[in-house]
Amino acid sequence: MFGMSFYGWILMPAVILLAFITLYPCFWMIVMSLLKVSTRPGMKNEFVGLANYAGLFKDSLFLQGWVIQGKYVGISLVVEFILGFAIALFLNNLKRSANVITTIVLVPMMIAPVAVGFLYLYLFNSSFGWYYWFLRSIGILRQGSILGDMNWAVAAIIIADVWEWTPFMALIFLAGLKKVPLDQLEASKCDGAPPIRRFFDVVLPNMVSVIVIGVLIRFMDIMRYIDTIFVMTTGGPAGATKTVSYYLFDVAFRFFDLGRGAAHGFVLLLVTIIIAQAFVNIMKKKGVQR
Amino acid sequence: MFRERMSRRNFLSTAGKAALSGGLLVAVGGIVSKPKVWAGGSNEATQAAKKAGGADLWRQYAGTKLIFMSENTPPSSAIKARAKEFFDLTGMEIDIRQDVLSTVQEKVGIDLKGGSDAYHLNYAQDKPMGTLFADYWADMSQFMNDPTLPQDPEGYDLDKWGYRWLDVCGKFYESSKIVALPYDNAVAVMFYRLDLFEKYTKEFEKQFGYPLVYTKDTTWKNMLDFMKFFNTGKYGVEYGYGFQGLEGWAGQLDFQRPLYAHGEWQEWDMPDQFLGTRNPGPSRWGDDQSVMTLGKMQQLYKLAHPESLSWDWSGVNNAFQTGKVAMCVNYGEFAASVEDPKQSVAAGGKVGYGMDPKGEPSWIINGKKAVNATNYGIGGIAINGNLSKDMQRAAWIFTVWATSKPLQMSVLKELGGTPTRMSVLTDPEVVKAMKRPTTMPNALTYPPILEAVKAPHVVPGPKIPKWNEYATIQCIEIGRCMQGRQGPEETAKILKKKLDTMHGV
Repeated sequence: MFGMSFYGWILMPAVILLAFITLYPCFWMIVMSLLKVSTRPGMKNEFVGLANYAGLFKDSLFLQGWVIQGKYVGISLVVEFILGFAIALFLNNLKRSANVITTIVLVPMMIAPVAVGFLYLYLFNSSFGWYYWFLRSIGILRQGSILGDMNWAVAAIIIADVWEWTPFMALIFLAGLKKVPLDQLEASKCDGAPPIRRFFDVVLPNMVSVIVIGVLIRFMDIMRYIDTIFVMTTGGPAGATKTVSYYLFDVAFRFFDLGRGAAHGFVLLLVTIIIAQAFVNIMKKKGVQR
Repeated sequence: MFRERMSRRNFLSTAGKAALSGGLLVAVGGIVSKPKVWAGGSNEATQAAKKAGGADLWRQYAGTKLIFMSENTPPSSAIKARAKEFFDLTGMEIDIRQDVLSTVQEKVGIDLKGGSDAYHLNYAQDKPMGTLFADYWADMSQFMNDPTLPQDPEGYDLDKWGYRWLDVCGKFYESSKIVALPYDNAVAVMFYRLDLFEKYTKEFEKQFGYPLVYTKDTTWKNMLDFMKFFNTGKYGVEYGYGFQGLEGWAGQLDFQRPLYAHGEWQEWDMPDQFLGTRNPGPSRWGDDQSVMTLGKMQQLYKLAHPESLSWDWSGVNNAFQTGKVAMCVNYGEFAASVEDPKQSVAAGGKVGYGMDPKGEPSWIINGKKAVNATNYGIGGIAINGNLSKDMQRAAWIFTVWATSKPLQMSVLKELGGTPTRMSVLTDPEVVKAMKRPTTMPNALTYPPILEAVKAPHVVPGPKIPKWNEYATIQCIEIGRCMQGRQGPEETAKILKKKLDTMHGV
């Protein structure tokens, strides 16, 4: 029936369940975003149309949250990409103990983000933090505080993110490097191409799909990521680390303004989808097969 | 191998049987573990309970399991350690789940607003919880004086607790409904290094013309001098003072102290600050006093430890314990850790406790008084209003037990609690413990606490339904001002605009 195989039918309940748990909340989020959700028992929700969306664009914390989110996501992704690629190249060229070293490199991404938050909270602490002491000792840090300073606090949450998630990028890129055709590399070697030329003309073109997938997954992840910020700075000092996703948490679960929170969440989802789609389009243009 | 041995029909049949068995198992398990409520619902049961009296009243819900979602505070940990005593008395199991306040807020909020009853009892911290959720908690006045329920022999009148603490955590926007009983007090007092003050008083006097002593008349202007003196690093600490301006509740309370100290300034005019109001109207931000105090606070923050905007009570306590700062305003419950030689370089009688700094008269331009502005968090126990009547009654039994004098007294003696009953705070044994040497280090903070939590020094509010949003906005804007990103006048104007917009004014 319906041209579906036996295995298709077997999978059907799981697919229906998955669709339900994904689409149902999404549907309710959209409905809720059009309501002023009651704040007291016995009161009814009030339909307010697009007022919650209009309100977002008058909310300076929401607008400023996008700027902070842009810095946080942009800088983290670029640094993780560069470091991840470098680490992947290093691991790919290891002759001995490659498995052991790869495992060690991957450890940070296996730690719970909240634990990473606490780790960096202590490392940056001015009373007993080792990073604080180190940065002060070598003269990079002139201020008496990392997490209490508006600029340094942003740097701190980026450093924590880079530490935890660079190994993820390295792992994806390492998998990509293993798939670079050896015949092409050998041919370029025979033609006398230096290593840098080989990297840009052979390795990189063969890695485009892996790079796009790695960056896409990481991008979608970091867009909704608040765990370490929650522990390290709670969005402060003075709102300096209050990304738009952190502010969403505030609006929905601290202010309990659920209608506004739903509108906020829907806008965040839309932006994430649009940018993710742009990545997919790049993949298609480059002729990457799905 | 699996594929070869099992046909599709067999596979589906086996899977179906497994699912059926699993479902039955879950259903039976649910029946077995479902709490049994044995009395209270019907008239007959109520009459029977009334007749039985005494121990039977405590045991009428034996077999019930209660879940209490609380902040990870010392009394919650202490009560958790005594859960067996509660079980022996009532036959009820109490499961105390603890977390940081923001997580408690999130979980309890979803539970209450979703019409659910996953958490039977809630930690009712006055402002961050009560202002938002009070309407969802059960009215406890229906259980008070109910002869079919156990009652506290002292009663629950206002004077049985610290100064208006029942109003602070138990009443919101109206006085007729009581939604929580006070069980945890965290009052802000000054912690200062008495040893350093005594040791360097002459040097200080040479430089500033008056002795280095801390009294209840010490003003925020004196604090500037203390900071200048200790910030030189020559006198045993790195900085004179540390604030706790971390965004959220810590920052809101911290900024409120100097603001209120100068001319009793508050954001909104309310008929009764202890009860709060649903519609506070236009904010006072932007008036001359608010701009003046913000300017002075900028000076104070400039001299305070640079971490001040990232510290909450724990952060500043760490700094005090490790000798980074000579002074900090912190909550009484931290005395136990400060006085512990294993954790603190300030232990061994080196710390003095006093009321929070007084407003500096020359900084007041609104014609009102200078006070030792003192604020707090009074945590209560509230009952989830979504519960059935029987479960609410069972939860009341726990509330009575957890806020009783004997329990508060024993917790204070053994684990360093934060009592709320006046009978405990004025008990001769506790009064004796307020002086060194003491076996109850938290009691060392009670003399300034008992003086500071009364009018005119105490500042309980603002109790408004949008408290969390207000605290966030205020912390961000004042934080920017303290970092020198915007001036006091600009900050006050922004706050006025944002807070009025928030309230639709």
